[in-house]
Amino acid sequence: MRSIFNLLYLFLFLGLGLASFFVLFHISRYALNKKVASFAALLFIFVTAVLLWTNAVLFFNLPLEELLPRGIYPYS
Amino acid sequence: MKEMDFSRYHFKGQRETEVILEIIHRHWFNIAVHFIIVLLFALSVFGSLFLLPFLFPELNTQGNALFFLFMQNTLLLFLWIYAFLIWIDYYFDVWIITNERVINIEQKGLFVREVSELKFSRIQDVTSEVEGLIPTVLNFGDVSVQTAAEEERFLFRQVPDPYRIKDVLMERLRNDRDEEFTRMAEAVKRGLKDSKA
Repeated sequence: MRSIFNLLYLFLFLGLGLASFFVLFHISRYALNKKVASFAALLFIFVTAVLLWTNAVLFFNLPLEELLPRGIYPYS
Repeated sequence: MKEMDFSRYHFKGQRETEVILEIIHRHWFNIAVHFIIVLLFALSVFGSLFLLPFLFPELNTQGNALFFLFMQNTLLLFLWIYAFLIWIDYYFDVWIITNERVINIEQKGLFVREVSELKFSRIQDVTSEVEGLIPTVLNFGDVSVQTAAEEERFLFRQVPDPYRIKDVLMERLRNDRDEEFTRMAEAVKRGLKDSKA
């Protein structure tokens, strides 16, 4: 059961990662002013990395067996 | 009004002799409306972080607290990326006036980007329009450029100070016509000299 949640989380994580990649791609490729582009990219990378990292840490520390009813999580 | 220096700016497809005269984004009010919604959501997320465990004590147990934090964090991640998508849609939607042409770059989300250009010689008429209470107070509106061809108008949407932009375009148009006239006069003079010789 845990592996199903891990797989679902992997999709979420990859989706957010992909969206972040496209945001950075646009900033680096299409910005008219390199100064603005660098600032925006650095801010985005820093905050997104912190949020993604804390998100992953929180997810892998979730006690799923405690949170889910016994019918859904039969191995608890 | 203070003259802006656009020497640090550069766009894809810019010619060597081309000088940027104006870079125009939509008025800040357009992005502010969207950002206020994001800000309210973010504030409600932060507010619930303190308020909900107080109202529902069962959220204070370790497992529930972790799950609650995880959900809040995920929501913040979505909001953060959404905020940047709004900014990209605003910042990359741009009109560039150069000494040679007008370029309209329209960004719609992440995967639609349209670039169109218009030479000054094709401009027939420029109209500026400010409509509504807030646009009148904040001085923003549309500038539409009618071209000689039967194609759709070139539209500067919700740009700040549309009257000034219209003046910039009209002045550039006059200069372009003067230059064209001078070129033609010189060509005629040369032609007359050649025929006499």
